[in-house]
Amino acid sequence: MRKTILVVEDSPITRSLIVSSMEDLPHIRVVEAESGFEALRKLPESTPDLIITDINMPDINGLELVRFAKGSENYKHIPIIIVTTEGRDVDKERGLALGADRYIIKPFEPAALQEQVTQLLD
Amino acid sequence: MDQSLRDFVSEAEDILDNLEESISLLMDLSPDDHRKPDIINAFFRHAHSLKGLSGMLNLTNLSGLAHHFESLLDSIRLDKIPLNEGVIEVLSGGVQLIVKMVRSVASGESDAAVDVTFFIEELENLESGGVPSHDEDLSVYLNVPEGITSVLSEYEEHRFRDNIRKKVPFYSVECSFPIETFDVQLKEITELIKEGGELLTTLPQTDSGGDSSSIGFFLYFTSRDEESAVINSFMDIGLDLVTVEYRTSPEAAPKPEVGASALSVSIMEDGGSDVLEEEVRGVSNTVRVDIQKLDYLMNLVGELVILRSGLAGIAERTGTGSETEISSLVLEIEKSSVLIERKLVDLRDAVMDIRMVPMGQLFNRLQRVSKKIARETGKNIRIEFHGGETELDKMIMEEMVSPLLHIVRNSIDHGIESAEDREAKRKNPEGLIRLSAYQQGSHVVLEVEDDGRGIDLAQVMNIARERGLVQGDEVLSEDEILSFLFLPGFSTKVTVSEVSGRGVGMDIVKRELEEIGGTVEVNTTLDVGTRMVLTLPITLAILQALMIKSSENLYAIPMGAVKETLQIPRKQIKTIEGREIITLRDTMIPLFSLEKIFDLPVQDVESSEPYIVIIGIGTRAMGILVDDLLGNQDVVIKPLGEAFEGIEGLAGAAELGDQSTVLVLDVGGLMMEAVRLGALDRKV
Repeated sequence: MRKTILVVEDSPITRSLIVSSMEDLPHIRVVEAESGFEALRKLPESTPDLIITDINMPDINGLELVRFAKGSENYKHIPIIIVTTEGRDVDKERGLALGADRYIIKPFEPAALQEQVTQLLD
Repeated sequence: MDQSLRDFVSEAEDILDNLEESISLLMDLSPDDHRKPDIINAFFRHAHSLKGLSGMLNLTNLSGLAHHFESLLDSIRLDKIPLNEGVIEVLSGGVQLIVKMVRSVASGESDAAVDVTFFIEELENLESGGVPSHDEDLSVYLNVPEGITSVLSEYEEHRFRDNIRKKVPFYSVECSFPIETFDVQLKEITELIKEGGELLTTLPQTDSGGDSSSIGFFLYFTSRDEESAVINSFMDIGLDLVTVEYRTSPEAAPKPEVGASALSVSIMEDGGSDVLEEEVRGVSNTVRVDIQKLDYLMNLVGELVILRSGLAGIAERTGTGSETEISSLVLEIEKSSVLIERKLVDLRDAVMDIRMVPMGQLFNRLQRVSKKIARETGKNIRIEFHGGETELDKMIMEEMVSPLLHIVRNSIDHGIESAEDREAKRKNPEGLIRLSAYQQGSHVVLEVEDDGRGIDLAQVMNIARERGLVQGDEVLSEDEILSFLFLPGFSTKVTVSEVSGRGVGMDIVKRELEEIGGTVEVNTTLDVGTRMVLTLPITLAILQALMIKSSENLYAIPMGAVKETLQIPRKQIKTIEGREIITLRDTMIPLFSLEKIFDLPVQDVESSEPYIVIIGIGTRAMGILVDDLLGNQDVVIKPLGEAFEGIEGLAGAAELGDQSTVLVLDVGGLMMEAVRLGALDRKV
């Protein structure tokens, strides 16, 4: 049975890198969102099994998305991986405090992300 | 360049445009402007995006620089470091370096080619001055839920504290929208908020299960407008505001002191004109294209394919048809041909549309660089830009970098007077340079106007006399005097300043413009100011041209330069002082033939009613005598080979439908040749 991953990332290049590394995994369907707002819209229609989200985004940032998802009955069971960058420890801490399950620092090897995803989906 | 690098450069260029815009805005706004935190935050986010992007492509030096930049901006947005002029200079220098690095990567070099160690040291010095502040939970000061702090980002929390410190009124509003349209509706509200204050946070409301067809938001914001006005403006859109009361009176928490005083700024290199030009140029040769435009193009191509196969079908039927059938088929072919032509025009326009970019892109980059130049001269100058939304072919816009920079530098350097001089003339102590762009038919006009000292025509005349360009007591019109400025090496400034480098160089500006089919004109009034007007074709690629025949040779003249065409009885052509002229509506227009200009053999037969094509650039006009006019056509100009270099008057060649080649004339060059041959007055 296919699992759905929602990828939320505003930089086109980074997003396509994440998406292609996810599509390399077996039985995975990827839904993309290029902003926090778009993610809010896609959540109910795609009911993902996992969310990968960037932190730094224009309208609502990744932290607010984590807080929203973990606070909502419909979505709080969905594991979340936050994508942060080197040196932004404060983002990582707040994200984890708000309920994010894992974090990964860019730049990363696709294999590292795939590993985390596989673990969370099992 | 491989595809991923191309993608990177394209995305990086977008971020750079944003960075340039941010820095421009920061330079313009007053310290108390309520929009500043937002702009600084946007600046921070762009630096952060660049860091992430370059990291993903293993450009460690670029991502390292972006990282330091981002840390500095983070400290600034958290008010750990005040944003004074010195800091803005450092930021500006940083943007400059980033541009260099991206350009380096774009041309295939490594990002280590640009040395940034010195700059990073400066950044680190700045950052270490900051002092972290420790405060109580927000709910101590404001009537907000305890624990709200944990759902805010560090930056949002800081913005709350900053506004509390300044005792700005707080409001909150709850709203709910259908999930299909919430972003549009939310945008309306945030724009309303940002007009009069600051949006602090947008919190999507967590649902308690069930219906997910709508989504709710909780917004906190501040406003400096009158409370009743704010409440009313929200009632108008059907929302109830809650005024968030202060709890304890917040003591003005001491603003953290920063060790660093106003910093001396090092601009990494100075190298005069070329370095600055590099900074203003675009980084890549790409344009961002709206997908809808491409869809439209695809449709057009599809329709053309259908029309073409219709033609193929007709061709087949002519093979087997009777005479009457064939003549009706010919009619069908003609109809198809007309339809195809229309579609091709649409196609041409759609492709040209894709090449268009807004002038604002160039304006943003120019603003930063021109402010730097102004600062270096120590003059107090305001630089305004109008018409940034005017669109221009990207290639042409890049060609305009050098001329515009030249002209602006002249204005700053020679045009605007020192503060004392301006005061003596009772002018506003702040000089003004205004750049405007607007469309005029098939041209785009760029104006650069300054309120400086104007051009001293008497002084120009003196220099012209010294150089022997003017005899004794000859009297010249203002236009004629001004045209001297466009001669190579002509300068009215005795000392050459470091800023403008080698001299005024208006001849180069003129050349560069004429190469792309444009013109430059000058208006000036002594002590009031100077205005340079540059007229450009909107696009280079495809031109409408008038086809003419002269002595059995076919030529094409770009329609943009054709003022009118007429046919007159030969006896109306007069000869004055050896030159042929006609009088058209009270103006004398000199005539010449292409054979004379190009030194070609003339046909013996002279028609009794020759055609005349009046061509002109700017305010100059002259007439070309031709044997026949053959209508308009779209031509694609291709460059002529090396063998033709140095021949004035030719812009290139074009291929016609029947695969013959026609020479395309360059009107500016023709006029210069005519001057040289004495058919036209000396004015260059």
